Amino acid sequence: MTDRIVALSGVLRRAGVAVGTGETLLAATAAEAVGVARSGDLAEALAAALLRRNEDRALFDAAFAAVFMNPPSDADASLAIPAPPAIRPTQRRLATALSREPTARPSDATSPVLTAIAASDVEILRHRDFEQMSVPEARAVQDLIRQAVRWWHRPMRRWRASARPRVFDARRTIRECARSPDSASLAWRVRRESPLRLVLVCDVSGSMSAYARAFLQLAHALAGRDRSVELFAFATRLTRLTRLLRTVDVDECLARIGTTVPDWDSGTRIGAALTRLNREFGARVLGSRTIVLLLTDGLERGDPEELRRAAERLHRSCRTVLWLNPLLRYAAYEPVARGAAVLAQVVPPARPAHDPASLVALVRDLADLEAGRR
Amino acid sequence: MTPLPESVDATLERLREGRYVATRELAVSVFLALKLQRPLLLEGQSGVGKTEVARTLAQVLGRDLIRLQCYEGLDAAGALYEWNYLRQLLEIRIAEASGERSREALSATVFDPRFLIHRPLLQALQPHAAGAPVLLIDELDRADEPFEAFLLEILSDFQVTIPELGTVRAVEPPIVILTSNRTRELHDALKRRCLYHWIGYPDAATELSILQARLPGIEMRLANQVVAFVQRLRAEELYKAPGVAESLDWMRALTALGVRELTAPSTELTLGALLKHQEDLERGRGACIERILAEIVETRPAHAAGG
Repeated sequence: MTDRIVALSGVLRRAGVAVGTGETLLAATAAEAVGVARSGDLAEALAAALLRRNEDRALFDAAFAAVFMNPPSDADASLAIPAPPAIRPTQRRLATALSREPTARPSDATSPVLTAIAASDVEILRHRDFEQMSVPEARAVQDLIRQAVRWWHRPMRRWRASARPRVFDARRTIRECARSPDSASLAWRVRRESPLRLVLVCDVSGSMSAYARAFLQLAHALAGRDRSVELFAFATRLTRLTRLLRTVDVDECLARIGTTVPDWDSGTRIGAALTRLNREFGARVLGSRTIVLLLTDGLERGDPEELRRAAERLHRSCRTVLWLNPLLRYAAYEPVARGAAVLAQVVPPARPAHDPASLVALVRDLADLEAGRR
Repeated sequence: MTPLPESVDATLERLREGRYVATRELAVSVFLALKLQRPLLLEGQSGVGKTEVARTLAQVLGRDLIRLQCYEGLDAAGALYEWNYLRQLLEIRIAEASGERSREALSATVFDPRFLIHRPLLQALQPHAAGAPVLLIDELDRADEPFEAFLLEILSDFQVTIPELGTVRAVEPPIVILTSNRTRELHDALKRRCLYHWIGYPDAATELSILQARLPGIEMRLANQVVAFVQRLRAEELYKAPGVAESLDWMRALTALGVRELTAPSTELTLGALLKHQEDLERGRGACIERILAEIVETRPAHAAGG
């Protein structure tokens, strides 16, 4: 029994689920507590002890079947699960994880994608243009982005000490009193401010698709971290995608966005899209605590005047517009295209967004921007 | 003191006594949490009965339920203990008036246990006549990370140190149930202390038994329709799919209105019990209702047979 549990932990670990010795021990205790009379109960007990995310459940079930339905000796060798005929990205990933690849992976790997690519490559990857990336490289970027977002500690709605009289801080006053009764004075506190809201607007027209994909990954990572993220995409017309960001799996999320956006890879009408954003969603998603991230190369096909009006309105109705322009990868780039020229006049200078490093830097700056408000 | 269940089946039975229809999978996790004295982390969409697990457990085991509702900015003062500052200030004033100047004596008077306000976590660590209480830490995802780290400390040792008083240690660890709606991912270190279970939306048969268990004496025909409707509605793309709590509310609303069978008008009028977002309501009010109602009518015989 114990060796099967150890084997199961090993399989899960190899497939990228973080299973430590503590979990394995707990699983053994749990198995003992429920007994082996019903395999369903046993599976449930082991899952409760070993897993910490519902997404790993499908993987667990397959691994459980492989380990516990086979004799222990060849359980490890016979993990060739028949490749599922399904198309869902999660299942594809599951099949990859269960097929025994000969690649040597560090035993504490929490991220199969990142570790599949050697650590030194990650550094190179940070400055690789999204457009030139292979599929596994693009997957590794997901991890880079996710890590950058993970370190973004947002400020809390907590109290902090204040030198000026605001709200009476009884706790500190008393403590001071008890410490030095003769020189005690009143202490004060204020609330820290609440976090900023992000509105991500993504150009998915033909010229942008590689960058849009990376940007959508960023959107997904940010939304997983913080609920106040709104996502819109446009080429010729604006689509609100916030709802799809709730999809937990990033591949599935991108796939659903792909099928939802009607005008992926078509022409660009930035002005019309921003007008609609202002008019229909402005009241709900824009405001003084909102930062708009606009990803576009500014290659406008529509009326530049409409773009000017819409961009001005947008700029006025939020805290700031951060324009991300992947064309900045060319050192000699100047915003001369019609749309880009208008945008350059209205909103602050564009920032680069063509490689992972620029997105990571963006996350840092957003965190700083938020911290600066305290 | 009511003894803890001895097996998974007994757990299932006890939960049923408390009118909680649990899946066997959930019962396994609850049984293990009780047996191994581990905190149980329940994740799932809102309204699937996570909080209710703790309430039911407290009820059927005859334990006290101590609930800590989390919110952003929740800190030790709100969760663990706080001093009663007003009374402390008064005490200082009295000490001054009586000419007491010794610093130690003043400290001892001011930080007396009499002035300690017990918040839920401290309450849970103290001895209870009915046995270790059920500690429900609700919607942990709404609290922030500093609080999570703080909780970690308590969940590993079941003891806290109050600088002015000393260490409080639980004689018997409380039965801890944590819930999360998963608006953000909880930290791994915390999850590692817990057993984990995901509560999904129930299937049609289970949802029907929940309606029956919670609302005895309901019209079965209507209940069948309600379940079929809600199950289909969950497949639509909504901001917030209705949970079991919403099905129960809706069933109550329809019963209160004397509706005996789902029709487009009665559904439309009461849709607010199911959908809580304007966008979802709009979506629901459109073709959605009629399409789903039509589907239910087609498949009704199968459901009637199943229920």
